Amino acid sequence: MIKKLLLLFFCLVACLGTGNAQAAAKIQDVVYGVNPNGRLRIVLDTNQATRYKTEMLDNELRVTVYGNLNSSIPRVTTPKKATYVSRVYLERKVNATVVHVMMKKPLQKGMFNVFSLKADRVAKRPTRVVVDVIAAPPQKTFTPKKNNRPSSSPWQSTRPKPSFGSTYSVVGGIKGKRITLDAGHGGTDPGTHGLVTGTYEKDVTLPITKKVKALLEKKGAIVYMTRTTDVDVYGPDATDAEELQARVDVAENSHSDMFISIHINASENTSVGGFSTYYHPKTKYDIQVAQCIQDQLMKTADVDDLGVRYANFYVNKRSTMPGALVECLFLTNKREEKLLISDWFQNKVAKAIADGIEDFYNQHQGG
Amino acid sequence: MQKKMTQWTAVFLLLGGLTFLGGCGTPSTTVHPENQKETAAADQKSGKTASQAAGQTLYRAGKDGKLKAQTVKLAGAKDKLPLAVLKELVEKQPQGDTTFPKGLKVNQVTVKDKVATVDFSREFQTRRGDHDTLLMLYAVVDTLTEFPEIQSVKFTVKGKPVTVLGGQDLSVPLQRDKKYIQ
Repeated sequence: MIKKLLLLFFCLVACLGTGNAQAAAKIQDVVYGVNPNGRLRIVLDTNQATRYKTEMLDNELRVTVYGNLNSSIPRVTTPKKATYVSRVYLERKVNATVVHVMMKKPLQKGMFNVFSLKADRVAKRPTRVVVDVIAAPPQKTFTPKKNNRPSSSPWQSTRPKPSFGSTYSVVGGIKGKRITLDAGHGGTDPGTHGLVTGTYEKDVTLPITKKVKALLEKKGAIVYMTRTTDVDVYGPDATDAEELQARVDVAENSHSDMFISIHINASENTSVGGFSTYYHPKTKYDIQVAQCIQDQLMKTADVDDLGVRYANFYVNKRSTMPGALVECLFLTNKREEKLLISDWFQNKVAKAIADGIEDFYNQHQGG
Repeated sequence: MQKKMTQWTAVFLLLGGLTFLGGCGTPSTTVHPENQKETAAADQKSGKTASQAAGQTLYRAGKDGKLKAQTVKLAGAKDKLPLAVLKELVEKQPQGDTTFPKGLKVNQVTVKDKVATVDFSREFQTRRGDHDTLLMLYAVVDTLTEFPEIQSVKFTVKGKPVTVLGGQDLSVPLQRDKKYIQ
């Protein structure tokens, strides 16, 4: 029965890989990445949904992707710091490219994962075939130790969550961390607005978020954005839940290690002001992320400290990786509106958020 | 044969579901560590059908962005008190109070298995601003969870469940959060 089940499972995987068969796909780019735990990820960018086939050899994982390799892409790569992979060769064939992943140790089931990703118009990423080779040998029973660092292995999760979603890493510093930034509101949803200038929240969150992106990338993080222009992420006719879930999906689909949502606050009471950062304690790290960011934000201006607060923000609650939702002052407060619409203050806020994120990773440098 | 086919179909669907539908994960039902019941007022010891004036704490938005406690005396049968105290909180706002949107009415409060369901008029969904939304929600939650028989609160508008409001996920009943109280 187990054999039959396995057979069925592999048939299913093969179906997934061959489901969108089209002739003469092109592999436009191949990107390699090794995370701090030693997991190798190979991402093949394709111009259309592409079939692939996976074969297990003694010391080699062979993935045939049915697309022509762009001639400018290097054929041989030696990924440094990958725990189990010594070298990767790309072999060009007629309408196919064979990825030879040479192993340092005999290949076992569970040591690798091959999957395809749909095009992500928000993150401006094409369709992709992803090959992961994990950092640690697969274990039949996994008993997490207390304070065990979360592994980035997609096989470890015990939660009934997306199969690739509940994997994140907090150790090893900010370099190489995948961070999704969510500019609050957008498109048909303007959010709140300033009472003096009428500036919409969506038009303040976007420039701040873009600035945070640039700063995080300078620090070595890989940043994904839920939106980069004035759009609804799901679409203009979405329900609130669909729109918010679309933002969470960007973080989950990019396997992000952190999700930060950036908003501006509002109140009918126009004298209320200040920074606040919200968390939902789905992991033990959420409150720490929120505190690190709030501490940095409070250095930017002489404003009220509304503190780090528990809340049930959909995007925090429904995402699997640590994160926080930042409320950058109040657009309904005259003085704060003036600050928020100025470029120099947006730079200060962006720097504070980026520095806060870096502080969090520095605190977990050693695990 | 048909039974076997059904079993295979089930296995196929299960595997397919595990492989593809992972993205639609259900929310975790994390219990917030701050959710600790405050001491029940001595008035709560009164009998189930007692009809007497009881000192009841309710919470309104204060000037510092937190909830401020206020005590009111309300008379009536114990099972009618949650509705009475909410009507007092929501429909008798002092001048200048911004805890709730103008015109908001409380239609009903029902309590079942320690979960209170509050039915509001449609103004409930006109609330804007994350700060005000949170204060409104926790003004209701923290006021109702003063009753020992209420531990969490969910919201409906004219009978229809409200699952998202101002970015807040309300699909799971909200529990008391003392951090919103001054």
